[in-house]
Amino acid sequence: MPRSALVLGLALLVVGIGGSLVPFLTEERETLAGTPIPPPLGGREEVVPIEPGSRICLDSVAIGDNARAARILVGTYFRAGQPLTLHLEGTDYRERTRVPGGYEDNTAVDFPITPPDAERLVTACVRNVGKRKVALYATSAKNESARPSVTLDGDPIGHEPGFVLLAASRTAVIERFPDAMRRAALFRPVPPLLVWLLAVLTVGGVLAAPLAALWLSAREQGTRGGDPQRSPD
Amino acid sequence: MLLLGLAAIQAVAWSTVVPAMQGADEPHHFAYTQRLVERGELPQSANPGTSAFSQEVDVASRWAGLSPLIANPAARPAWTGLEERSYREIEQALPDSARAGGTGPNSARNNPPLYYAWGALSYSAGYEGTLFTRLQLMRLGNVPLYLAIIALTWALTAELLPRPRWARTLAAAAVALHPQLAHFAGMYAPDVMLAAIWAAFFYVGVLLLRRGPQAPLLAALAGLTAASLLTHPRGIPIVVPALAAAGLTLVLHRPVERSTLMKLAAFGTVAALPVAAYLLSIPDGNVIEGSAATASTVRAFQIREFLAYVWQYYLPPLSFMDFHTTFGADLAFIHNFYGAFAWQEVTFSPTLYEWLRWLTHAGLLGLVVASFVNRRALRGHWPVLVVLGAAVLSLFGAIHYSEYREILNQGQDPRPQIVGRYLFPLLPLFGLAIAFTVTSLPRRGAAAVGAVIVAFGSLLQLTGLGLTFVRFYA
Repeated sequence: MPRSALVLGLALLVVGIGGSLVPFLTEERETLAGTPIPPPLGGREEVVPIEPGSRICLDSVAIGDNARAARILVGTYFRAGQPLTLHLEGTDYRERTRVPGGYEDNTAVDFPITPPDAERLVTACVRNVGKRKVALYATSAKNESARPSVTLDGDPIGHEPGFVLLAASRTAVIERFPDAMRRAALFRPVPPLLVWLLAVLTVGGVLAAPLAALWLSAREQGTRGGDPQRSPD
Repeated sequence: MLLLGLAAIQAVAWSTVVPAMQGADEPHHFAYTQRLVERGELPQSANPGTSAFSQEVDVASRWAGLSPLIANPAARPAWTGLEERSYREIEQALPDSARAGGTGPNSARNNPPLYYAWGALSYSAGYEGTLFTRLQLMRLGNVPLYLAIIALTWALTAELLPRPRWARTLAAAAVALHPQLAHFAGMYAPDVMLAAIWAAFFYVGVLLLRRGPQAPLLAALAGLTAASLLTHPRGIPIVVPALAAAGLTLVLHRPVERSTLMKLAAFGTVAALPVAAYLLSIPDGNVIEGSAATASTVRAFQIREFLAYVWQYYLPPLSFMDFHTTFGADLAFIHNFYGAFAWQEVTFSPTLYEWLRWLTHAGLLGLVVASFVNRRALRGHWPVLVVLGAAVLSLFGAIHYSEYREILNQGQDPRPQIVGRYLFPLLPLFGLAIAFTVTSLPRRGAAAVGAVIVAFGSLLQLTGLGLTFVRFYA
């Protein structure tokens, strides 16, 4: 195999990484801190009406020390959005926050929060403190059911409103890698260090091994005068 | 060895990047195996109104956030160590019976048990661990099968295309870097085992045609045919190329000794025994009850309509066709074939799929041209081409027949059934075709195109892994 062919392959790798992977890894985006109940899948949204004074609660919501906002998706029935409060309560942790009315229909409403100093399981309650009803976008699909149980004014309901936690600021994907590696090791019989090691081996191997194998097999043929071998390269 | 080492790392990486139960139909495959181990029974019989999943699966899904994660790109799995610790406390308090439930209808019940018996070994090896440990081990059970596909592609290409030597490396690399195959190598699903069986079948079939009816090869052919039948209903089409390989071998290597025929009959009988035993174990004897291939349909099968459906799968409809379908090869054989990960919600960019479509078309055109240019050489290989062609046609025919039956079943609003992984059994031929086409080019151009294909495959693999990692954890 001529050296120029190898150079061409390497050039494609460099162009591909530079033109596609680097922008993907460095572009800043909204940063999630968790999805206790994810937003419903498109086309499967349902709504839970929340009358003035009513309160919807979710238990067993896991919240970490990086959460800075809680997001729900609210419908206002074509009128101005109503003020809402959010209460978070768990062991040694209590947080109360409020968003004013006036937001648009079908809007993601973010409650700014101060997180606990360590991970907690909390109960999250949203109350409509306005004068008109609003609705939270939710799902009732049993096969999409999340862990938190949901009650409306104390009564269990079959709907689960989307409830998402956001981190403080927009970050690039590459900045989140340390957290991502730790998360990837959860619920697995491996420590985060092994996930790091695997990541390094994978990236290095995928970039180097195939071209190296092709190059070596071509070179071996050259040195052996084209005599085919019968073992994998 | 370099490629095999890389492939092993890739498979482990995919098994780590995708959370538990997020491979297509993985919960059902796990439940099948769990029932097999815990209750010693196949899931063909079901208790209506109950869940296919055990209490253990439900608890794990709740604490790791697995159910809402399925196919929902806005969802993330549980990200806190607190949830993992809480799960472990609850899991340790579960009774032994928590693993033995899950006797409800399982969508994988039509699958024969060979792959699940293989998975049961890993399940048993991790028996003392949590569900997550067992599932991880079950996923890793695919690694040797995945490596076998790559090694057998290498061997098949070495047999059929001995020079240049790098052709076999190119073929093996094309398979090793196939993103969707690598993804499935890290999941718990029978597709990789089926592909490994077909890869071995191709190699054995070619050796048989070239070396004659040697007893070990005949035994391997019969065994692989039975293994395919016992792995998945999509393994049934192997019967056609198997018969073609056996028949052509006997014709080409006449006169055949009587003892050889006796051995062939004996191997066939022995291989048929486990298949027959499985068929007899199915309640009411209906092997793939409820599947599209055998179910009674709303409308009757019409050959004219079926042909119109197949035509439109690949080409625009003709004016006289009164049957219309929106299903097409683009979704199944480009998107889902090259890469749609997890529950298919992790995808490449539309631009990349467009590139893949054009490259695939260019590759197919190149294959036709290379075949024409090398037609004299190929003529000498006609028995091999007949067997490989029979494999391609029988597999395509079977999956199209099955999907057409599903269209008849579902009436007005049918959903596409064919996905790209259905073509995994043909991946060794995919690698071989790439190597054949590229090495038909002038020497310098061939090497450059080969290097570009390998580099492009590396980028695809890395992109797929990266997108999936970010989708779940970043």
